[in-house]
Amino acid sequence: MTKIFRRLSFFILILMQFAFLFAIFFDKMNAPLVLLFLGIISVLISLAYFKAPREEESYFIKDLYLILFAVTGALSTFFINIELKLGPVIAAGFIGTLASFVPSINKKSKLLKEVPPAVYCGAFVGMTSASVAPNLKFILFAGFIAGSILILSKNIFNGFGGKLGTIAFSSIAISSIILYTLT
Amino acid sequence: MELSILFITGIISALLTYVVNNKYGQGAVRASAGLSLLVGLFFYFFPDIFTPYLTKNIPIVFIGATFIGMVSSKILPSYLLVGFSGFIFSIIYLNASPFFKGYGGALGTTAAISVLVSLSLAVVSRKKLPWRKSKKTLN
Repeated sequence: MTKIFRRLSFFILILMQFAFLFAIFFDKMNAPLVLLFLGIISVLISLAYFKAPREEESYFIKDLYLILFAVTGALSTFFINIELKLGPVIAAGFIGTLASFVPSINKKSKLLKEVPPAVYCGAFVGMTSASVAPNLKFILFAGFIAGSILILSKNIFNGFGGKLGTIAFSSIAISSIILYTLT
Repeated sequence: MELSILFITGIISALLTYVVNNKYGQGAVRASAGLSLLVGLFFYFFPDIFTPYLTKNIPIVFIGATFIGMVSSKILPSYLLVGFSGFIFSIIYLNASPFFKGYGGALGTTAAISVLVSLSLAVVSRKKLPWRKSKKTLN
């Protein structure tokens, strides 16, 4: 079961990164230098996928708290970003800094140690601009998806810069697709 | 000129976060969020120091490149490669497709791609990586 979840999340994250590169590819069709650059980094990151370290750890019910943390981070960041009009960088920075001090409340608690990454992942979801996210419900939903992917991917890409961002990106993309098909 | 400032921002931001995160042991989230908050506030209160283009883009490039610095020193134990990731990040950022404009996490995805590029360079050049060594002893 652990293996299936790991493969699923691995697949989602890879798919998103390549979707991102493909978008650049179609956009820059007539710029050979950019295409060459894209080709080289595609080969390099494919290589890194196979060599990246993995972990075997089973899933627990307590992991579901991560969804709650991610949703909290997403909603609060979106509020500061859009409603208070402070912009995405200050919003995510502020929420992330606050979250990073949560483990100091009780240093023995293992659960509190999981708070900063989950909230910061949610904060990236909240960095979405108002043109992509029509309302708070969208962010709520995307935050929920982000939390779910965060749980699924707990055995891969640990300690990698950009893992949380890729998860946030995946959740926004999935939510946009669902919103697009429903309307 | 403006472009080179963005490149330098990317490299410095990645390295600075990496140092605060690993060397000063502040943890990945505080290193990235704290530094971004400082830079964000600076440009919020002093919007006229740089040109409008730079005032708009430096904070975004900065927060994006801090995600690179969130990498653990156990995964990528090289300042050179972290700085290189920051450079790659800036290239991708400047060419990013408008299709995903405004998506939260697009910066993070760009950062992840740049880290993976550096990591595979480390693997290809047969650099000694802590996690590879431990894997060998396990097998």
